[in-house]
Amino acid sequence: MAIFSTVMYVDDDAEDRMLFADAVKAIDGEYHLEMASDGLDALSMLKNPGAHLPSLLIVDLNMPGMGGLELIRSLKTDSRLADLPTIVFTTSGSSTDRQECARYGVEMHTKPLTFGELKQSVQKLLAYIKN
Amino acid sequence: MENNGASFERRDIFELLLESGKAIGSEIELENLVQKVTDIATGITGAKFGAFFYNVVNSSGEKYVLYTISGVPREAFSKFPMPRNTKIFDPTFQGHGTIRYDDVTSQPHYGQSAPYHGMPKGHLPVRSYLAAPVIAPGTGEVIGGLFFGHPEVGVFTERSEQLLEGIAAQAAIAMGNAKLFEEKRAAEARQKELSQQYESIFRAASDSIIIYDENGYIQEANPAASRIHGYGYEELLRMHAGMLFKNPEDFTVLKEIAFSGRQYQGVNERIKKDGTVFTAHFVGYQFIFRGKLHVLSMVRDNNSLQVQDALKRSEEFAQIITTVSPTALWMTDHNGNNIYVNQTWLDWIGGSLADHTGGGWLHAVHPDDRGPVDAQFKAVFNQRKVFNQDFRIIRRTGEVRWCSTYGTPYFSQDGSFGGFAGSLTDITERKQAEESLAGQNALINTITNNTQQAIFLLDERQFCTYMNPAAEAMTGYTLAALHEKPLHYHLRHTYPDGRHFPIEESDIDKAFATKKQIKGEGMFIRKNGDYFPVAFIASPIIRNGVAVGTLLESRDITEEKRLQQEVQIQQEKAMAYLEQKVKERTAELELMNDELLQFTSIASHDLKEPVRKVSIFSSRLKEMGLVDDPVFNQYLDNIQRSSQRIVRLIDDLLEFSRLSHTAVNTSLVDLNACIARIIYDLELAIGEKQATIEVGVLPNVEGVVHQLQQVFQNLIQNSLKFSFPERPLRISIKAEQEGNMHVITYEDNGIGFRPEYGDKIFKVFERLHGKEKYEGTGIGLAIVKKIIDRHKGSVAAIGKEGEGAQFIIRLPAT
Repeated sequence: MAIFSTVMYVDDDAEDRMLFADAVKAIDGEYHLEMASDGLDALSMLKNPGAHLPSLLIVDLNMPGMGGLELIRSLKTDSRLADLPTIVFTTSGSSTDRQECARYGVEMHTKPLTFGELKQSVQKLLAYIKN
Repeated sequence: MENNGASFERRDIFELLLESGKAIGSEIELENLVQKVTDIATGITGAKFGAFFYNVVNSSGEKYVLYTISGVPREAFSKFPMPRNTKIFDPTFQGHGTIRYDDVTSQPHYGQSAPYHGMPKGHLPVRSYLAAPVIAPGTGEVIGGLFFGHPEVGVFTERSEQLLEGIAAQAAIAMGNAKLFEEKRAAEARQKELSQQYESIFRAASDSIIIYDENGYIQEANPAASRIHGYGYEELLRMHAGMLFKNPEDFTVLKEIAFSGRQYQGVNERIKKDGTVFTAHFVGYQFIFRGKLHVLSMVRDNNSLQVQDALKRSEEFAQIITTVSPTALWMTDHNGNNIYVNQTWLDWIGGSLADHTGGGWLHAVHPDDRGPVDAQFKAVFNQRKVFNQDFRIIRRTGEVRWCSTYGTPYFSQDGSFGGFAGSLTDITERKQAEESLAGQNALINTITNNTQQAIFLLDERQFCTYMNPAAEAMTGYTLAALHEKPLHYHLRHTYPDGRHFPIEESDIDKAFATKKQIKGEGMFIRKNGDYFPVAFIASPIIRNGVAVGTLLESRDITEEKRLQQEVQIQQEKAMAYLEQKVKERTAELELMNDELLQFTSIASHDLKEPVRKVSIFSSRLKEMGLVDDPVFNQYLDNIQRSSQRIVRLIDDLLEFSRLSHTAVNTSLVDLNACIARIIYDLELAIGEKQATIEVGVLPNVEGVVHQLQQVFQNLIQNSLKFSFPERPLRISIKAEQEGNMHVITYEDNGIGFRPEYGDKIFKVFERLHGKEKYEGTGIGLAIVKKIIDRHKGSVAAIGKEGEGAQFIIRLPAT
């Protein structure tokens, strides 16, 4: 079972969650995907002591309740989660958001506009997983 | 016979000595005397040759020895040092009596003395030797020695010895006489030299030296005295020394001091012949002259160069000086009869001294003044008082001039009254000035009495000595009420806050001390105690370089102040209103900005989100390939392209508007890293276009990382967009430093643009190409320009249509 890396994708948009999963499937990625619908949801999953930590956390920025940056900030205060590899994947293309992410040492990728591009993006994102 | 022979010999000696005595005693010149002594002694002693060595003291007190020779030429001894210091001569020079040897060479001490040990080679042969000292009578001092020789043995006898001793005694006396004579002659010469020296000093001195007698009459004067006082030598010798003083009383006092045996010195004013008054530094003391008591008075020549310079000028100039000179001098005898007038008076009136002696001078006085002047003079003369009067005289030209005379009595040494002496000054100009001054004063009075400006005159104590009606009206005081203390203590004794206001702190009163005009504002206190503001000008009144008072002009500025304050209040109100408005407006704008940012933020996400979905799902539809109809697929592409355009438009607009509003933190940015990141991000598109990007070594610049990244991203995206499909795209980015700027040249070989669009290209929504052909929002380059501007740099675009575009970016070097 442990041969597949676990990737947690946090996004409030159900369509985006579906598209992400489709894209992973389309590129024949053998990953174990965990989905969370917002920051709080993700945090409670990650803080569960029995949970197996994902190899990569992909987070949307604009989410109701707890947004992406807020989630990242919370992770940094938890020694177990502080070093979790995290990437922001958002609709925003704004350099201000990019800068904001950089402050937390997190890279920001913009969600693409075609499914073809999305597949390329997902490939890029998953490449962050350390083998 | 023997006795007879002996007595004959004695008589012979006596007679011979009598003869020699006559001959020697008649000679008073030392040089002749010693020669005569030597000759006579050589003759009567029977010597072949003789010598006389004698001591001389010169005028400097140095002793040395001279000698005379007889019987042989002087040259016979000239080779040897004279006198030779030998054992043979020693007893004689020491005064040990007469020495006689029949054969000097057989003497035991002969030949003992170095360097010759006997007579030197070439010396005259001597066998018989006779020598005697010459000793001054009274003192016993050896003044010389007489030495005689003969080549044969035993020539000198006892007779020779006696004769020599007699002659030596006669020589001693004669030499004493000659010496006295010589001294007397030297003393006389010295005396003469000294008096010649005194004479030359007297004549050459640049200071005036005048010798006057006990009555004050000048007896001797040097050329400097003539030069300094302007009188000729002969003139001076006829003058009374008091005439050289501006105030003859000064002279009387000085003369008395000198004759009391004390020296006097000091400074006072003297009058030259031309009437010029000058300040003289003088010394005087009692002095015996021609056997009688006199006074020698010296006046220092303060400006001899100036005087010489004046003398050099033409006679005409000298004439002008005497003509315009304001001072004439006069002097009377003890009866009041005039005995002297100076050249100036004669130049004025004409005629000779004789015409003005006695009462003659009165004819020069204007007929209307003559009577009163005469009466006044007689009155003061009898009372020995000062004669001081203004009157008119008639000059020889017929011109009537005003004069002022000042005369005082003078006294001789014995206290007897000598007469009156005085000066006469032309005061016509002064009189005229006084008259015109009276006119001016009237004018000034009119002004001061009518001006609204308050005018005060303060004396050197800062007391008020004059105030005009405006000053009275302003302060409520009259002049009489201000007399007991400085004006300051009437008008400014207390600060408005109740503190004492000492005069030392007053700016008005500094005008006097600093001799500078002082302008200012301050508070005055009215007689009734009210304070009121004034503007003032305090000007020092300066006479002959000395501040003698202050002119204070002042003006009540209550009304001005009130107006000023009112204006100020109005201005402040206006300013406050304006500030309030600006604040309100700023707050409004800030609010609007916040709203705008909020809006753009919402737009970026909420607006984009659905559009993105439209795009991505249409792309999925197409990918699914459900409908095999080219038109269907074409429409899907159209949906996709339009929605993508909307997303980009939103992104770019958002970015552009954020650039203006967001404060950012700068850091040192490595442009090489920036470009590398962009190339990584755009890998796909770059690959599609088969583009090559050459990047040179780029600098580090101070800036905002993501903004600078945006600049190059936009440029590269632009190049990718505007490239020829059939020509592989080549992009080059190079940098070099020019002064304190980095110049980054970005170049591509794309479609380029027309050169005239260089500026237009940076404007928002400015599109040079149709959007059908090239995608884009038209905001990319506007963002580039805005970012570069915000980094204090510049960007310029150079285009060549069909060949490529070049962007030159300048950024400050750190």
